[in-house]
Amino acid sequence: MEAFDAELYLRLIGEQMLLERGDQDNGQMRPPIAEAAGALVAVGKIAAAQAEAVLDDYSLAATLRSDPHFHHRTMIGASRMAGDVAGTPFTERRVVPCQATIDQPQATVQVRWVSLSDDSTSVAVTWRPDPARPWGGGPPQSTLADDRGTVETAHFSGGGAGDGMLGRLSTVRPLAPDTAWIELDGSRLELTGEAAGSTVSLEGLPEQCPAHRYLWQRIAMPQDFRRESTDGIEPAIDALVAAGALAVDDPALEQMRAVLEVMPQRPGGALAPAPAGFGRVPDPWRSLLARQGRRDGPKGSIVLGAVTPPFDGFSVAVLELSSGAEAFHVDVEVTPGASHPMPFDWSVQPRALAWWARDDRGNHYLGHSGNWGSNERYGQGLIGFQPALDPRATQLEIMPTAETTRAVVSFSLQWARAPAEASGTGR
Amino acid sequence: MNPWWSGLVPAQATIACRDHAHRLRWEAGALHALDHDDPEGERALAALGGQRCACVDVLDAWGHHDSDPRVLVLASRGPSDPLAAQAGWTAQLGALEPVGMPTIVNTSRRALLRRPSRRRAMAARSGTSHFYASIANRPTTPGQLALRTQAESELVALLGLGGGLQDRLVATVAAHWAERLEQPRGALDGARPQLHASMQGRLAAAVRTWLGRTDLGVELAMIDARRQPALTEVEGVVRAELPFSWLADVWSRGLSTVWGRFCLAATTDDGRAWTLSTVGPDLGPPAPVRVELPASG
Repeated sequence: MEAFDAELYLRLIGEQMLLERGDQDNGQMRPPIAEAAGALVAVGKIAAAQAEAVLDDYSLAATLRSDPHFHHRTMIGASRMAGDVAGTPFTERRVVPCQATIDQPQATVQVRWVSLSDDSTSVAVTWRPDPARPWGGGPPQSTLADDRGTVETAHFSGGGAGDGMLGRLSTVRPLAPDTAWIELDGSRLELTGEAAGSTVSLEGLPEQCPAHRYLWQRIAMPQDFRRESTDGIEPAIDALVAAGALAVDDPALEQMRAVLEVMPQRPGGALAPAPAGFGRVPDPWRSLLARQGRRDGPKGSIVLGAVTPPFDGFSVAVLELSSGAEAFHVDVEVTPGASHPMPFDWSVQPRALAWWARDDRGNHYLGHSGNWGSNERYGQGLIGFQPALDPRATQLEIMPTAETTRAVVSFSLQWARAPAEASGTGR
Repeated sequence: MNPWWSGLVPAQATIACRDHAHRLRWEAGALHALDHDDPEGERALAALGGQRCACVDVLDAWGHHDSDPRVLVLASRGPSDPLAAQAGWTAQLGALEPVGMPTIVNTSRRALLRRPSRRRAMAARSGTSHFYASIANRPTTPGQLALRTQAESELVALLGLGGGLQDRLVATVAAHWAERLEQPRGALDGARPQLHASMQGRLAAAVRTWLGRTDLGVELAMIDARRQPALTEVEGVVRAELPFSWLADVWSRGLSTVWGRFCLAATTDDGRAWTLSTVGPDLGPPAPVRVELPASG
């Protein structure tokens, strides 16, 4: 029997992709070659650098066939750059709930909270342009000032949300973390509130065979792995079987396929009730599906300032929970920066987090990324969880989950205020 | 022994060089800049700070990659697999430094967050939820391609050359590795998976086109050049046993199919008259086919 040659295996998938011109059909989703590469790296059948070299070859080959101006490669480069730098773990920060509406010449700005630390200052805002005052672009830069006389320019980063834009105004240099107030374009915001209390801990995950661990983690990943137009988990399974890391009749495969069969194919698909037969899937997936389709989530938001210690190379800040009838969202920061799969990026690195949550009623929730972006230091954005939060729940745990460890951010569901319209559900 | 380029007709392309249209010609195994009398002198002048010359840059790039197996990975697998080549692919060579995005790590947050307002407005109107900062750092300028290294820039430039030069570059690389594979093992520098896969891709494209079955499974067993090549079908999959030299001897010369037959090997005594070992669509026993180039070829 010939020894398994992981590089040749991946390259032959690449050849098939080129002949079928599959790169064009796949768009921004990860093609089978990338899924197979990730699986083989995870079980140690090929070094990450060697797999990356193969993916680089076929990514460029695909570009030469379908993207002559290299647009996608430009996007990949930006996200790769963010992921190339090992992130510095987050430190404790002061997060202050702040409800204010500021009228600007071209828009209304709703302020939700302010985050102050020794190295950065950011203000969470919803920016709504005034239709009566046409404005051709997104939010302009703003000015932030503190009670020490520090004045800094703040730049907006974020994305579309309904009729406005949801995001953050961030400064390059920090304002005083203990400032009593800040001024946003001259409008003073008194920082008198406090973030809700939370506890943070780390949990080791149960020992599993590497192939099972990789596949379950991948199934839970945000974005694109469950979408209809991909081959889903099969390229990864095929690679693991070919490499001898998994038996073709492994009973776990039946469970995994059953989960994929009943899981919604797209984030919005969780609004329909779970299909019949979901009861045969294992927990925590079963509890996830049990509430699928419910639209009884509580409406409100909770500002948090939770920061995890490093786990499996990640560090996470959980800043705000906003809940609506159909889903809930958590505003987070993650280091290292590109800790989400980015469009068109086939890389096996960086690893990404799966986002789980559970409440004190025994329900589980799974998150997917909404607005997301990253810079050279960290990634930030919204994680959208479904199904809707159980209205009877009084405690929630947000659990960013890495390969061997997960962080658990626990807090009481004491709703401080109704969320702003744009920060509600359906994003 | 005939040189490896026997039977490969000259190829020629025109590129923009210092505001002129200049000719690059491949002939008898080498690339020449026809409109430059002294490429070596121009190269020396450029090294001393003189104006760079696109023709010489391409000659240099060719020299850097005429044995690079990545050429085989990136280039076309045949007529059914065209590249979307643009003139800008070659024009970018030497004009700008490669973008090198992964190495830029000191970019300020301000730069990361800066983004053209028009794109923001479009995104806002479309309701897209993409986070701007994620793609805000675009260090390319209009017309500049996102190429990561000088080597990548050179490869793209070479593959953008028209006039059949891409095919001649593939032939050059294939011939280099065919010869190298006949030498004792250990001299492959880990290139075997690249060579095997890129040959299998070309073989599959040729066999599928030949048999008119676009979804046909095709497998390659790379054999020693001294063994007899074969083409068989087992359970709906065509299995080829071919040496790597098939790529240089047959595929690169456009001899994969002749008169509806698939060519397993091509030999010549004089570089003009060729004997092809071929099989029919029934994958029966090989039979010879003789072809001869015109005297002027």
